[in-house]
Amino acid sequence: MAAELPVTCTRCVLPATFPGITFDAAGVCGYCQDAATAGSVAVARQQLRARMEAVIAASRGQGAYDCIVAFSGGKDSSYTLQSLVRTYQLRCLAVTIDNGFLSEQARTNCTTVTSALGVDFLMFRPAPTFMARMYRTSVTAGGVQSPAAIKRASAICNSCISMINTLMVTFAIQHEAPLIAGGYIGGQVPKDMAVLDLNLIQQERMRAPQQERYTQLFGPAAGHFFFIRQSLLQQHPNGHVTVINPMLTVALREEEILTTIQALGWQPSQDTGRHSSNCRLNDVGIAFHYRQHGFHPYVLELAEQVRAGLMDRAEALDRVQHIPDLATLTPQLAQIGLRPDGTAAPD
Amino acid sequence: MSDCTPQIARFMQSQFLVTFDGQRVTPTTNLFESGHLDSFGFVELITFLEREFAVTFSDEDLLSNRLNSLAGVAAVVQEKLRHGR
Repeated sequence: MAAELPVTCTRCVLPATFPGITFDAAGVCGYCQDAATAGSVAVARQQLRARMEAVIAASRGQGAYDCIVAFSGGKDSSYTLQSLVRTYQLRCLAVTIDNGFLSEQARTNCTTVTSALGVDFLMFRPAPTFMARMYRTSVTAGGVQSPAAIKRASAICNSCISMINTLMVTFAIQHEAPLIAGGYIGGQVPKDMAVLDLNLIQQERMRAPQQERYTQLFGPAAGHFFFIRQSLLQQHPNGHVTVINPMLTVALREEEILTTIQALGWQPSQDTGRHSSNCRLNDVGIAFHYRQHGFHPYVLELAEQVRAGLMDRAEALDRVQHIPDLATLTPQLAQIGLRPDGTAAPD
Repeated sequence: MSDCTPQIARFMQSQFLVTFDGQRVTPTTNLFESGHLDSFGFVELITFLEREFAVTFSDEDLLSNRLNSLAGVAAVVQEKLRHGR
């Protein structure tokens, strides 16, 4: 379904419905104005890469693995994994969280890519009952995540990302890995997350106030999936892990990414919608997000790609204009116990 | 030395969509408890403070429980500016 676009930045694709946005007289948004005065993007990217490479050099050979890679079988995490293995020669453990909506092709890609790269691979599948409740509540309760999180992703994605981030830290502690890598690209997370030192105790202090609320919303298992046990934290030798997102340090067009990973045997999924290469639930999140907030949850990321010259504006506009139709997503809705109107279906 | 609070408040309002209305959210409200600040937001906040005020934060700062409200953040930044770090 093609959405009628609200007033949109004349330079990128951010709409007037985007929270906190401002425009100048020429219709250029505040994000584009800031980017124009922020200095060379290429130089900033180079500095981030130098920082990341210094951290990689200092982290090598410390634990059983150098790096836990959050690996979804999608295109960006597949590219990230090959980069860490081939370019940086890191000993990686690829970890996939099967959320119950992993496409069959993505599952095949996980095996194909890790085999081609000679990487150890672990798949973890949380109980479907927990996942269904988490996704359903994320849509129906509203405001589960921080208010600003709606700028970055749908409620469904935000809950899933938050859970996966916690699980990756857990795996890093258990496997004594000093690094955690993600396949985030520009606009999905703050740029400084190219290299981020995590003080684990401070992270848990930040999250602790939400534990009771999460347990009420998602059930007792939320404690296990969104928070790290004190006993586990105490096992850690120095209380720090470093998160790296190598794709924030390079300028790559989608075609370049696909060419590289297809050489490893990676193939695109056909049943995951336009904005995901691994998750069959993604379109449900997009549709509800657009209905609730009036803008596409990928618009910040696509605007960033346009600003960086990695995507044509017309292509980005076309992508944010097409909102998935919930009537075509009834199997996914049934799996998480939701009706197309966003209310919980009776058991 | 000018008070850095208004500048930090503007950043929090635009980035975290928090409104300091003096009732539900005040300058001393713990923004983690109120749900306005998450770990991504905290990264953005620290990056902003380091860039705008040329200060750095130690593990001790991060663990001090002072960087959880507008008033706490402004006080820590003000102290750093006073002591030139």
